[in-house]
Amino acid sequence: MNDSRRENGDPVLSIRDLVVSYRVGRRRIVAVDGVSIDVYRNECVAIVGESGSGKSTLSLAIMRLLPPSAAIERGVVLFKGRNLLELSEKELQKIRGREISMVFQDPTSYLNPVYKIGDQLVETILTHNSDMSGNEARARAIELLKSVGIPSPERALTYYPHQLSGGMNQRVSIALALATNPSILIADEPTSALDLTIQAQILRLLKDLMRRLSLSIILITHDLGLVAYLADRVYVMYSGKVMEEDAVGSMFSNPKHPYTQLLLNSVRIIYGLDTSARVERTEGHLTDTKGCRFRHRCPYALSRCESQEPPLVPLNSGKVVRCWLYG
Amino acid sequence: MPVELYALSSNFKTVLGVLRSDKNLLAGALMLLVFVLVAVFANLIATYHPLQTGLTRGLHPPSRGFLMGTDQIGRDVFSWVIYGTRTALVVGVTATAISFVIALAVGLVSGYFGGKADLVLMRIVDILLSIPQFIFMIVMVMLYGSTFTNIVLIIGLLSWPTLARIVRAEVLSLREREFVLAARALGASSRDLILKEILPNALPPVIPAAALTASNAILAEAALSFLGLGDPRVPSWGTMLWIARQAIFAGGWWTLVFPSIFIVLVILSINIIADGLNNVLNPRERT
Amino acid sequence: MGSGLAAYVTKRALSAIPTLVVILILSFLLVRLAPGDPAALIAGEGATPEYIENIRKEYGLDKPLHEQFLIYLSHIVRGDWGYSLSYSRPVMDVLIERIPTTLLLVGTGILVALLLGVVLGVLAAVKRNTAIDRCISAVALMLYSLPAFVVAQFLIYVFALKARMFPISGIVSIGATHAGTLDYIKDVLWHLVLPATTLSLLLMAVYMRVTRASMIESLVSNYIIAARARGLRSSSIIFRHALKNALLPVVTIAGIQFGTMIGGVVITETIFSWPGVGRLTIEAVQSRDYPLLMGIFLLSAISVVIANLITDIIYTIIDPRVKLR
Repeated sequence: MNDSRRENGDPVLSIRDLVVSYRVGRRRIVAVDGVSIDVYRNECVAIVGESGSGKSTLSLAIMRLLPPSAAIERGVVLFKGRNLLELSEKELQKIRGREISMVFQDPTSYLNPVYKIGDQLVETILTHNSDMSGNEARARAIELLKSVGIPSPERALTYYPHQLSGGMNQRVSIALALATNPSILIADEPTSALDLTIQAQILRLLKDLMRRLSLSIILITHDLGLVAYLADRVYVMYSGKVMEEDAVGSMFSNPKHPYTQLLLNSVRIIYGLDTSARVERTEGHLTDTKGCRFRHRCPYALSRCESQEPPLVPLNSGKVVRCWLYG
Repeated sequence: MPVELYALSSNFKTVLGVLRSDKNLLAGALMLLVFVLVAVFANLIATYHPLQTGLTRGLHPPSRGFLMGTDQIGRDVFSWVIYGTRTALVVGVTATAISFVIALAVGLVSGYFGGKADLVLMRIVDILLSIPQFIFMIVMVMLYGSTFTNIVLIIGLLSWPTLARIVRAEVLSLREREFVLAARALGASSRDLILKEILPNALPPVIPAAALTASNAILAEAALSFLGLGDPRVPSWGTMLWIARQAIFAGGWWTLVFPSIFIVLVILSINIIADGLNNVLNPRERT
Repeated sequence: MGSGLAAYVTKRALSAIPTLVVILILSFLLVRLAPGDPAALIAGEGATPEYIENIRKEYGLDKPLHEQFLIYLSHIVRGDWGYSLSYSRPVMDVLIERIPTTLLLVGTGILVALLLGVVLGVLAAVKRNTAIDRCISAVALMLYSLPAFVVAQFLIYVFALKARMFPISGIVSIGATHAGTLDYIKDVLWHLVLPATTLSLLLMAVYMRVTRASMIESLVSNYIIAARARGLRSSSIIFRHALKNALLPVVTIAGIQFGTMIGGVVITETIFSWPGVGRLTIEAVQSRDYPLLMGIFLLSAISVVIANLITDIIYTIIDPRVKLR
């Protein structure tokens, strides 16, 4: 475990040994295979991986937003002492949008096209604050839009999502997510669908909000530029498993897992500026459960890697790695 | 062989393969097969000539000689219903064939060449779709006579617009696909492209719609016969159902029940096949 | 937005005109090119030779076709759609008299079908792939496969003949006197039940299937996931968020069906002797009243075009994504 965060107390969110699978035709494909993640107060945790690594499934599983073809087979998601996987739908609805919120990729498609954004905002506010009046909710909505940097918020309330740009809609989505001051914001590829300049603005907004509201952010992304800018700690996922976990600085300066090294070698990162790093896709392999998942692409694969899967091993520096090269 | 169809056919090497892939589809196909057999072997199955009257003196309930009873003028309902199967299926197949051919031609030309031809053809489609089909059929039959050929022709000529639209939509999307562009780069002529690459791949989505056209055609013919506008020399379920209208007042439930069962089952089986084919051939439309 | 809408309406109305013109041409040509003497056809069955000659002069049937068409057009536009010999009244009068009756039947049928169809479609979509869904979908498939004459006759047999709950035919009881309007309305409604039920059963299947498919697509879309992530209540999500999106195609279909209904009720009205335009069609056929028949044809074609136009405009209004500017 990374000690630098211990000072903040117990983790706000603790995912332990989560296994999620999808039913595809007659087979079951495991997307998340025994993943454990901790998120502490006031930090940004990045979960990095390519498509198919299971990171999006993981993000949806936290609040049980998975489609019906998915099944959470095992594991625990502890939030403020309660296991989210055991709550009823009604109890979950009190947590969603109020204590844990989510923003997604491609903001326009994640907003209801037939309702004005003012109505959507007010609805969310009133759902979690039933004692507010309509006017109070509207005032709060305007306040929220201001806090995410939307100009002339009164007018923005009357717009439909398709009338606003992607960047604006993402700000609206963030406003919706922060309407009730949640403890955690899950951001799944929040800027991938946006132009580069807008990406920068949204990221600055997120960083600013994190500081002002003492918010924890779980950042799901394949973009190492975002990770460099926003994250405090990083988990690297591959094929449903965590391969490496470390603080962001030492992750970039001293990557240990061959996969992490692969990611970083294919990118030139200028610390502080945003670059889009796309991980090259090689042919996927359906998970065969023997041995290390990464061995097909690993330049250092040993014979041991073929038959035995390495466990997660903490190193002295505070890093945790899953690789036979390190014990 | 066009690339896409190859992918399709490697899963469904035979029609049997397609049928087995969806249980409902298989059930529907089997049901329809029964009716096809009845239609083909009608003269072996039926006990009397369907148009023959005076076999009994008026309405008679089902009995050993007359499995489905007789109507007011002594016609054997059983034979009528059996031969009616042949009528219905002939209507379905022929009208659909006519519609299908026209729709393919129009859709392919419209979708592939675009431009003025497309505009004109689609305008025609729009206008034809604005014409109330059933009333138009009635008018045509009134003006041009209610022979069986006329009826089949009229139904066929009215059903092609819907199919043509579907064909055109498919052609439009296929036109820009890689394998078409590749073939064109290799120097294939327009005609070859249309016939060898686009046409086979445009077919799958159209087939369920064609099945629905068939069932609509059968319903249309039955409706026309029901209203007395059918060909009197042809035994149609619709006609028997019109007879039933009077017969049920005299207790002749058999004139209503048996033709109804047959027509509902045939339409149902075609609809099941259409649904099933839709699920199989258009997985993105699957719900 | 106001001017945008007005401009759009005008544009769509104008584009409907060529369609109307073609329909007029078609209706014009149908009679002129049919076998037999057009004058006799237009005059109708049982016309005297002098009457037929009058018709020939009035419609200029000796003149070249394009001149004939202009004469025809001028008649139509003036509201003179011919004279019905079997009713001894102008065709237009007969039609106007019957239209409300059909509208009553069609309106009731579509409304009930919409209500039930949408409710069941939503239920099937929300409970997708469960027993309830399979049941509802099977029922929809059955109803979709039933022809009008089968449904109508069965309803009559069961509810009118055997159970004697409803009348067999007509719009009011024959020879009955009514104590006031309320009594009259009650009688009409009592007669309306079976024919409207027939129509509803037939139409319901389409609405059920379309709503179900549309709802399912809506329920898996991104904005629904986001709505759930905001902790909105399930009922809210289904009825406010998903349904409003899902209903858009249903509205379109219902609107278009309104237009095609005149042709669609011929069978139902005939079986129940419901005195509307549908039944009128058969009466015209039986008395070989061609002017009346062509009048019905024109009427139903025009109603299709108008219904399509109105549906288009309504859709533009209710779907915010359609840009009018």
